[in-house]
Amino acid sequence: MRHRLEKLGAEVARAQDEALTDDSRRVSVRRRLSEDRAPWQPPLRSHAWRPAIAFAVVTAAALGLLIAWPSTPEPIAYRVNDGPESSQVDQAITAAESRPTPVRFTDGSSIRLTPGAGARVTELTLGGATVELEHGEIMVYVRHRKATRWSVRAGPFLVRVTGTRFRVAWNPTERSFELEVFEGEVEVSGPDAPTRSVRAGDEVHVAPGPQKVPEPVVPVPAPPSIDTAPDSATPARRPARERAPATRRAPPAPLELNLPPKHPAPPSQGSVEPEPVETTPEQTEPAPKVVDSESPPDPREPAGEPTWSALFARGEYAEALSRLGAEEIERAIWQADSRELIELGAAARRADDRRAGYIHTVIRSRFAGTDTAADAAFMLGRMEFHAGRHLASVTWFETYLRERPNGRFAREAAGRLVEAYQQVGDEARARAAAERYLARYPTGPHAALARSVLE
Amino acid sequence: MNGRMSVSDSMSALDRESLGRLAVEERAADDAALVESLRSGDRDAPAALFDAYGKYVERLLVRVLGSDPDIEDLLHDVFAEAFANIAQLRDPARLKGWLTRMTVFVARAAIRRRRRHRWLVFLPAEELPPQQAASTPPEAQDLLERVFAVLRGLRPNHRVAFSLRYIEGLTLPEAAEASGVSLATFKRWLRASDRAFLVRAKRTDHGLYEELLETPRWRAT
Repeated sequence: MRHRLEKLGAEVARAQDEALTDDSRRVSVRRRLSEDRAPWQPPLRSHAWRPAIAFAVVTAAALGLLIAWPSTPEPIAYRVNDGPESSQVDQAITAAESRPTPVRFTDGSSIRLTPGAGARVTELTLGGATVELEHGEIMVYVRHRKATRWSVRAGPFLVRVTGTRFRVAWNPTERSFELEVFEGEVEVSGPDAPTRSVRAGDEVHVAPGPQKVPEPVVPVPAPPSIDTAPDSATPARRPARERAPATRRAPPAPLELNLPPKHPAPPSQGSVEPEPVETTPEQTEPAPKVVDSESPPDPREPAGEPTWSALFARGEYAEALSRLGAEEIERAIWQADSRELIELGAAARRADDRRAGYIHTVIRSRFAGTDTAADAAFMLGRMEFHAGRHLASVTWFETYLRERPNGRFAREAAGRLVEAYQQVGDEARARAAAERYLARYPTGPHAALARSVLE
Repeated sequence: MNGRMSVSDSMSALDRESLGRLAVEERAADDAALVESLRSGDRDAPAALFDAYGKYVERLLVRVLGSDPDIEDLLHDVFAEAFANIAQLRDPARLKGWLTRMTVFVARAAIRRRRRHRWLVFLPAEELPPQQAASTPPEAQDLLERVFAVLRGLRPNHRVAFSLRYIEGLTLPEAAEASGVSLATFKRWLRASDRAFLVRAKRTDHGLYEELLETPRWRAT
C-alpha cells in the first residue's frame, strides 16, 4: 500500500509542478520583502563600527535635542499600504478581501491586517499607539524601545506590549478572541479577569460561550515548571478527554471517601457525585461517581458482574476496563496496589481508553515520591505528546527528569523534551534541552534531532 | 569487453560521486557566504537568499498545503522569519535544512490555524476555489482537488508527514529532520497518516480509494 501512496504522491507532485512554473507569486513576494525589510534588518556585528556608531548617536541626539528644544515632541505617525503619513486617530482601516494590508508606524513597529480584517488606530503617543481590532486578524510587530507603550484592543480584551511579535484575532459576532505570541511577552486582560502574562510560544483562545476571559492554567498535581501553557490555556477548546482528569483532580474530598481502609477517611454519607468543575456537555467520559467502600452494592449493577479484584488477580486488566462499570473501576483505581494500577494504566493506554490519564494521575497522587509515581509522570508526558499536546507533555517530562534524573526513562524523556519544545516553537528552550541531551547522551536516539536543533 | 565496461562503469560512478560531493560542497560554501552577507547587513543579501531558495520554499509550501490562496503570504512569512532569525543559524552551511524546517513549521502552523478557525461562520480560506495555473490539465487539477480534500481531514502532523514523504519524496530521515522530530516519531506519524488517508478516502471519496487500491493507475510497474 505504501508503494501505491508513493505513486499517488508522485502524480500529485507532477500536477503541482505544472502550477509552479508560474513565477508571479515569487515576483510579488520578492517585491514585498524588499519593501518591508526594515523591521528585521540585522544589526551590524563588526565591533570596529562601535565608536563611529556611538559618535553618530551622540551627535544625532545632540542635534535632535537642539532642534526639538523647546518645542513639544511629536507622537508617532503611521502609513497604510505605503500611502501618505498620517497622524489621524479613529480612522477605520479595512483590508481588502484579497490581500493583507500593512500599516507601518514611525517608531519602526508595524501591523498587518489579514484579508478582510478591520481595525483603527485609536491613540498615538510618543511611545507607541493603541490599535483597536474591530474584526478579523492582525499580525503585530512592536519594536522594543525604552519607552514603548503599545496596546491592542479587541472587544473587551486588552493586550499590552513592550516589544514583541504576536497575532490577535477577534470575531465580534462570535465574541471569540485569540492571541498567539511569537516573540517576547505581552500582558492580556479581559472582562472579570486579572491581567496575565503570555509568553512566546503561548496562545490564548476564548471561544464563544459562557467563558469570557482567558483563564489561567488548569492546575494539575505535580507539574511545577509551567506557569502558562498554551494547550492548557484554552479551556473552551480543549477536548473532553483532556479536561476530564482536571475535573477529577479538583475535588479531593469525594475521592478521599473512597480510600482503602489503610487510609482513614471521614465518615461517608453514601454515594457522592463530584462537583461539576468545568464540566461541559461534550465531556462524555462517565462521571467518577465515588462510593463509600462500606456502602452496599449498587442495585443497578448486574448481579453477575465480576469484581475488580477477581479480574486483576487473573491479570485481565483490559477485560476489567471494558466490562466493569464506572463505580467498580473507580473503586479499583483507589484500592488496587501500585503494581495492579500500573498494569491497569498500561491496559488503558494500549486500548486508547480515555481513563488512562486519570489512572496515571491517581498513581502519582497515591504513590507520591516513589519510582512508580515518577514513571507515571513519564507516561503522562508520553500520552500528552502522542495526543499532540506538546506543551502539556513538556511539563510531565520535566517533572520526570526532576524526580528521576537517572531514571529508566531519563534518556527518552530528555529526547522527547527536545521534540516537544521544537513542536511548540520554543526555540530557546529546545536548544537548551538539545544541549543537555547531547551532553548526556551524545549517541542517543534523539542525538541527530538535537544536533539539528542546535544548527 | 565486459572488463572494460566494468572499469568504465566504476570510473563513471566514481566521477559521479566526486561530482556530487563537489556540488554539495560548493552549495555549502555558497550558503555560508550568503549567510555571512545577510549577517553583515548587505542590502542585496535578502534578495539573493530569496532568489536562491524562493522557488524551493514555495514548492515545499505547495506540497504541504496544495493550491492554497495564502501561499504567497506564507512564502513571505518564511523569509521574513528567516531574515529575523538568521543570527541563530549556527552552521551556515546547513542553510537549506534550516529553511526547510522553518517552511514546514510555517505550513503546519497555517494548517493548525485553519483547523482552529473551522467553527467560524466565514468560508475557510482553504475551501475557496483552488488557484491553479491555466496550464494545469483538468485531470491533474481533479486529482489535486480530490487528494487535498482527503488530506484536509488529517491531523496536521500526519498531513505534513504524508506530504513530505509521498508528495515531496523526501527520505524518512530527511522528512523527520524537516519536521523537527525524531525518526521514530516521524515513522509513527507516517503510519498514522497512511491509515487515516485510506480511511478518509474510503469514507469521502470512494472513487479515489478504489483507484488507489485496485486500478493500475498508481500500481507499481
